[in-house]
Amino acid sequence: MESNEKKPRYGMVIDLDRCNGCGNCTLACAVENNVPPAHENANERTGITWMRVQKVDNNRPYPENRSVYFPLTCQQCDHHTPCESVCPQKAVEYDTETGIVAQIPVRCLGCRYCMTACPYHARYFNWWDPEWPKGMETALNPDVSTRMRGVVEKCNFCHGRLQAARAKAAVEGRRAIADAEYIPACAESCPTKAIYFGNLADAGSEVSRLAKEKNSFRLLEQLGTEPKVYFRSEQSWVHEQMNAKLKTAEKEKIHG
Amino acid sequence: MDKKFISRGVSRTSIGNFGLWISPWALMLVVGLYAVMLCLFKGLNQTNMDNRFAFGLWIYLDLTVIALGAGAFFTGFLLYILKRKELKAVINSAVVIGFICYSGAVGVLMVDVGQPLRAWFTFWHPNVHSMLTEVTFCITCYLMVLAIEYVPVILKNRKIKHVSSMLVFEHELHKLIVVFAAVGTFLSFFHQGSLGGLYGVLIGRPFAFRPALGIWPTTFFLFIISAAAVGPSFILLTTALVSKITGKKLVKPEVYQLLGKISGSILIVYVLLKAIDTLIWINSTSPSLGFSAASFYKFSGFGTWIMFAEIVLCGLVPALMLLNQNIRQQFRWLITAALLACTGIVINRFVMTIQTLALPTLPFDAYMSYVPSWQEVATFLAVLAYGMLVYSFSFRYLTLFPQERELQSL
Amino acid sequence: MNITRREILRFVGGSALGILLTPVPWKALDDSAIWTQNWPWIPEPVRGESSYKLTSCTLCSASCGLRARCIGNQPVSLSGISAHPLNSGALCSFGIIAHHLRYHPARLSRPCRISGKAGASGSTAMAFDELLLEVAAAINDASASSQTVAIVDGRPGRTASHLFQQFAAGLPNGKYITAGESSLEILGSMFEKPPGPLAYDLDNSKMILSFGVPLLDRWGTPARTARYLQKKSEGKQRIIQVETLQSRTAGMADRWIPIRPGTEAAFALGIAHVILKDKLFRDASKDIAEFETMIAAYPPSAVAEICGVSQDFIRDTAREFSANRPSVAVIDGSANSRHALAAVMALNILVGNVGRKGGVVVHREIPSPVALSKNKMSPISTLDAIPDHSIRAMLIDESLSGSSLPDGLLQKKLTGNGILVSLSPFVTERPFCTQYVIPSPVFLESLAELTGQADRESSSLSLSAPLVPEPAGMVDPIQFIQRLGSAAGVMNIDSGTTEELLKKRMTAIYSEKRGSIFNASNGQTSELKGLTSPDELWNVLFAGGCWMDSPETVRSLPAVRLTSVSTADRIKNIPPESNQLLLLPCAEDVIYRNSEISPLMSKVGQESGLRPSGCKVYLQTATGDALGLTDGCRVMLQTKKGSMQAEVRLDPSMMPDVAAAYSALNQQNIISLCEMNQDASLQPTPVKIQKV
Repeated sequence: MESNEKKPRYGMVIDLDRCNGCGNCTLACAVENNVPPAHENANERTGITWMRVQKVDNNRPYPENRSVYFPLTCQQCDHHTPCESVCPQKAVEYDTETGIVAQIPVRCLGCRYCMTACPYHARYFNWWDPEWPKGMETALNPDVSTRMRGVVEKCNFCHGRLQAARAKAAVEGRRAIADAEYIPACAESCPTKAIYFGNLADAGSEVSRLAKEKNSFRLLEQLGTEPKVYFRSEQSWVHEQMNAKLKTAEKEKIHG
Repeated sequence: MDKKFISRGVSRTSIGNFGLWISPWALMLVVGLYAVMLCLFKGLNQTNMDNRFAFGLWIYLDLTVIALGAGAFFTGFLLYILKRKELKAVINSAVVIGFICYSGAVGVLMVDVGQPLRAWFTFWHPNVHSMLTEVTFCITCYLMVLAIEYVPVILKNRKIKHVSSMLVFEHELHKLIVVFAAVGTFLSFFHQGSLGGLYGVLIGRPFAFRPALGIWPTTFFLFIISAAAVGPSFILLTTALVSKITGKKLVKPEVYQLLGKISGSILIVYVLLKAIDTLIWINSTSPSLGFSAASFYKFSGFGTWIMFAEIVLCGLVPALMLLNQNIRQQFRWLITAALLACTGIVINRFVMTIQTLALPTLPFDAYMSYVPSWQEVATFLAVLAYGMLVYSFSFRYLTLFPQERELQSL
Repeated sequence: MNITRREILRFVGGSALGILLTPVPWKALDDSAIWTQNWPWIPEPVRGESSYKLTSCTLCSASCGLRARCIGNQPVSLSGISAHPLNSGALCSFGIIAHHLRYHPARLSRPCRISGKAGASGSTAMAFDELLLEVAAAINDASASSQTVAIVDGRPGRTASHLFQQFAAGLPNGKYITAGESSLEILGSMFEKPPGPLAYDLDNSKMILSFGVPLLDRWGTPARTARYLQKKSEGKQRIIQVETLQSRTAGMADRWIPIRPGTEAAFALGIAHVILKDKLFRDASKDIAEFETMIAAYPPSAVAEICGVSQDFIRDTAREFSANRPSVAVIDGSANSRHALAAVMALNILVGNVGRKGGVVVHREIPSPVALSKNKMSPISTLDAIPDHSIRAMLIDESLSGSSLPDGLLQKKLTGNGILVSLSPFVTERPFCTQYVIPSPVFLESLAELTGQADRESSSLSLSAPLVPEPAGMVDPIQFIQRLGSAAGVMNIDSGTTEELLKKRMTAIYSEKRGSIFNASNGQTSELKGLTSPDELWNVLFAGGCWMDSPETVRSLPAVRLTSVSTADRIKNIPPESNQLLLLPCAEDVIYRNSEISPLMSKVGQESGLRPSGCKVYLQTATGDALGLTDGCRVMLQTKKGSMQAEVRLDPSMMPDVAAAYSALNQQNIISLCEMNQDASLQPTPVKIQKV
């Protein structure tokens, strides 16, 4: 019986050792989700990049400096989702069927409380009305609505693609969709295949296997929000860097 | 010229002088309203807020102003519920200040949100788990209560009194004022608390996050108590300021001292609880989230001095001063203590709003800074100017201090 | 009736209450809610059924196969074709948003003349015929006064390229110049006779010694990083990156050797020195003894000093390079002096990498009926070989973005009244001469031919099909040269429309029966022999397919002369004077400055800082601290050549005392601040940095 099957929990494992920081994920995401080009006054702190790649280094000076690129998107917190509980008017939705946290921009009043709540800085506010160079608005993706200024938006694992895959399955008389039928634009566009996407609840899936590996970790795991985006790297400094704060804190606890 | 509007038995400056006094404020208001229009019509790109500093000067201001405006509910509570009749001397002024603070805060909030026309969606699709929903509901209701409390003060105006039906209305309303005071107190407790909860629930911001007592984080209770503590101090300060500016005695010295005493007694409780809360946060909450408390204070600008200033210098010190009768009796020290107490709360709200956002959360985050744009500052100043104007007119034409006539004739 | 004030108040109050009982306020509320959710000035996507079309990307000669998702005829997103042998499903960040190029604000709609002379900038729109007359007059003038007319081709090997060569041959002083991979051109010139088109066979190489080439980032096929990671895990390929900056390639390579800016040539000669000393060489070229004497001044100890690295690095690299054959040394032509290119190419000759699978290979010529027609073709020249100030008219085909020649070099070669004619989809303004610009269609608008593969074992040919109609008045390179030829009286150019000429080429390729063909619609690669007709070949290529030539079987190469590597201008470490840093102009913008990109590129630049945007200068944190500079502060960069403002980024990966500078597109270029070599390559230049 189908009801015995566990509900899917979509998640990602991002292999930092495979990411060369090309930015394709950011661009494919913007194309898929109809994010407009930057306003002329926009900057790194006011721009909209649902998927953003950030260079992270080991804080060592030249020539011992080493770095990796972190593709950062909504970490899709599964438990006590920080942004979901704070929204005053239910414009953030946690889908219990898939575990996907989605923003409903048409209901958002733009208070930005969710943005202060998110420790991953994965939420973006429309500081300007969207504008496309003349004609470019005809090249928008028909599956995703555009947004206006004054509302918050963020990654929803390309929810539009999930809907499309489901619709297709429904037409073909299937109740479930196959893994290969649904993949977010960032994972699809990655030229080095650094982004694995799939169902974490399915013990046999590649993502759940990779997520359990010893080289995999999550950002701010200790907050207990159960993010569904994992990172992996074989470089020990990356792990040290990510756990640096955790370790100091533990040490102080022991001695204090 | 406007003599017949001015209360019997008190003197007010000439209309010309009054005009001179209000014109700079009016100008400030106009400039501020221009900035508000820019923000409303061009969008929030007019501010220097950004995706990392999603809350800025305005939210800080809202929290501060509402804490200071708490004098209205707490004085009402003491007067009408606990029957401290001495406070009748300042209740009208407190109501006006409360009204100014709350309406100013709501006004700024309407500019602060990206889609003000959708603000009412909160009433339509409320998320009961959100502190902001609680804040929105309570503030909206309490603002109505304040407006209702303000109405009798207006209706008692010498000229308006002549309309008999208005007088009847005022009388009936006054009989109900206890009910409104009670409702107001209830609402205030909630939204002061919810404003504290606003940051206390942020699990993603370990600097602000506090564990829950019941369903609310400890900041919920700390905000209520701190607002109750400084409300009277702020009434004391504003009364003293008005008295200084107009050169008139407005309330008896005992009233000042009583306000100081009330403030001090609550402040000492607050400081104690805040200290306990801070110790728990340093030793348990923060480390359990993976952050050593010390790591939050290693950035230039926000050292541990800010914690010392908030809790000791502007918390414990004024509390002890206000509890000492000798100090209370010396007007200058009384004012100093009240000022310190208010500063403590101003720092606390700053720490909760601004410092929380400036601090990194991800292991590779940078420390952020933010400087408000002129539009943000002008909007803030517009609230100040609006408050000044409302208060000035109220003071001139309404009876804010019932003891004034008595003290003048002395 | 007497209406009292009270009655009016009552009426107003009553109506207010009454209205609440009607649907009016609630409808108004609802409407306002709907309005706030749908502002009429916010564009909404056009809905419709989606379909997929297959084609090839024209942005560079990597010729990636891609799949365009279309709504109606409108492409709305692009993705790679995963079975494609050239790009294995990968696209680069330019390609993935290339369908926006049509809407670029700098899109050129009409031919125009731009008087770019400093201070008198202005553009005049004109008819194409009118423009042709003016250009033809200049060309005839040049022929009469024995001045040169040069035609510059960034994508040689196309049918259009062969027509350009015919055009150049038809003029008394016509020159056909390619702006291809200049390191390989240099290597070619070291042979006594031209060996044929050269290419790096990176996929089959066991060790790649890269001198600052962004191999794993935007250079050649975007599939390389994934292929390298795969081979690395199997122990089949190593990359050693010799580069001052911690680039993406340096970060991912097996080893990063950070050398001082501008010392690539010295490092290469140091390796050559070790190879010769330790007898690690394979190819005994005639003048090897002479070469050894020439580079006697570059023992590892001296080179270590110049480059700022340990001697062990030089020795180890030399040994690995000769032991792990097939190996290949690569260097980027656009960012280095010809001298450095030659020194690096000498390494390939020394260890016998040239003409070997996995090293530098010789591509076979792709059959071209135009090249074989009765109309003669001009040989390929280099711009270096043309005397300064001798070109009266320079024609540049920029219809496909790609390699370009530095503006400084173009300026140097033009005569005082020289004109520049460019065929380009975008308005490009060069501030030093009168320029004629002719609008050409962009990617997805016209039929384009793609040849090349300078990083692959064999060459390939793909077609890019027009998926959307082109705007009126666009001119493609074949039409352009045919029309210009007839206007200037150059009659020896093959006739025929673009489609006719390309179809003829398909027939020629088909008749050779060599190589393999990838069919994008079924993902299969098969022998060309298996196809039934040239039309089938055309149809497969038209739908995102690709023809790959068979690799050249080993053949004897002409003799090579190592001594053509010049050590005349001694490479020295240029230590900056006190309180000065060394300004390193960064390749990122040097390469792409003449090609427009989708406005959405702001996502990885302006909006996230992933790529430098605007004028930025990167400094080592300690260097910045010493100068009192903070991250994000604005500074003035001052060199002997000029000054400009930039924003500081402190970066611990930077070499101390080096300032890596990037400049924004369409802004004052960092290049104008740098000292230029004879060959227009840029030198690291001492710079003073002051806070503004």
